[in-house]
Amino acid sequence: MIRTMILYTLVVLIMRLMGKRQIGELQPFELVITIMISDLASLPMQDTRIPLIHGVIPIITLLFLEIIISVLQLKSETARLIISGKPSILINKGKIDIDIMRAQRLNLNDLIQEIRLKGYYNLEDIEFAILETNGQLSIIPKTELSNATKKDLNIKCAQDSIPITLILDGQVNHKNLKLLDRDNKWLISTLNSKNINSPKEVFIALADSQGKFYMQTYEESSKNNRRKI
Amino acid sequence: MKNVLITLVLFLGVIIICSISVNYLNTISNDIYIENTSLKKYVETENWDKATSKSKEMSKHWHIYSNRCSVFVNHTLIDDLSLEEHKLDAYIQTKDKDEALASCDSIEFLMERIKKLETINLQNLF
Repeated sequence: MIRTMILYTLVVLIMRLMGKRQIGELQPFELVITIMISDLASLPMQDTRIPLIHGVIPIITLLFLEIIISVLQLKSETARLIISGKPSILINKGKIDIDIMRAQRLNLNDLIQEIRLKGYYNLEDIEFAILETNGQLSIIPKTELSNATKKDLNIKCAQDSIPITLILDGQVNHKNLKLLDRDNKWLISTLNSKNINSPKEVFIALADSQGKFYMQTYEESSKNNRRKI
Repeated sequence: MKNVLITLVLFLGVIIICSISVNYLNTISNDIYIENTSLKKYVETENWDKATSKSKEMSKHWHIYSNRCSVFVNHTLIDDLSLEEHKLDAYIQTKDKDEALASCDSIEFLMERIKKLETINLQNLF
């Protein structure tokens, strides 16, 4: 049990050190490392005859390799090309590139399925389809079929910003208040104006992407739940 | 950058641990080899009193070594050597020269095997 706890903590730490890429879309070398780490950690976990260090040393060595490879990729284009490969353009200017499809061992059904999953139903709607190095398909539709933006329609609007949490589970986040250039006094007076005496009554309060104050009390949350039941 | 630094520190730590463990294995295998050789001589000359005390001394040392070794050596290998150690003790008690000598050779072989597992060679690499 203690071994499991130690190894679990180590693997979580290692995945954190590998960065966010490791828990999102994986490049081939990252996938290999993730599979190997899971196997290496499980061996000493189930077999007490194997010293923990026999699992820990290869895991740290893999972490080291992963970091070296990602730094190399960051610094050199050639390394990036060798390690991750380059994206393949499957549909180029509206035409399917059969040679690239063959090279990627991708059949037409796979391509059409991926295109459907991206929300396009007709092949002729697509100008470019790019198979990324992490296996995802990016699609650029024909310009006349792409969605109109606010800019296209000349609609004037303010830029949205990141919503900032001010109270979470009754606890005031003073750091975020400072970020907004506000203080506790402002928060209390805002709450008082909404007939709330203490932040402890608030389940969540935040400044939304438009900078407006939004909040929900515990009472409101529980009422809502009761209604659903 | 912080992640890269932590990784480098961890990797350096691994290298240090590896070199310490290999060094420690070399030291104890030399100690066991020396003790085993003198024990073998006592058995060959049928000096059973000295062989008994030497065997006890070697067992005591091996007990300390094995506890430390178990941190970085597969426990099966350590158990094999401990078992042979117990057998040798029993053979010396019963003054069984042939079996005692065979046990001494086994201990030497097992210790060498543990040491060789940590060295860099083609056999270990592939």
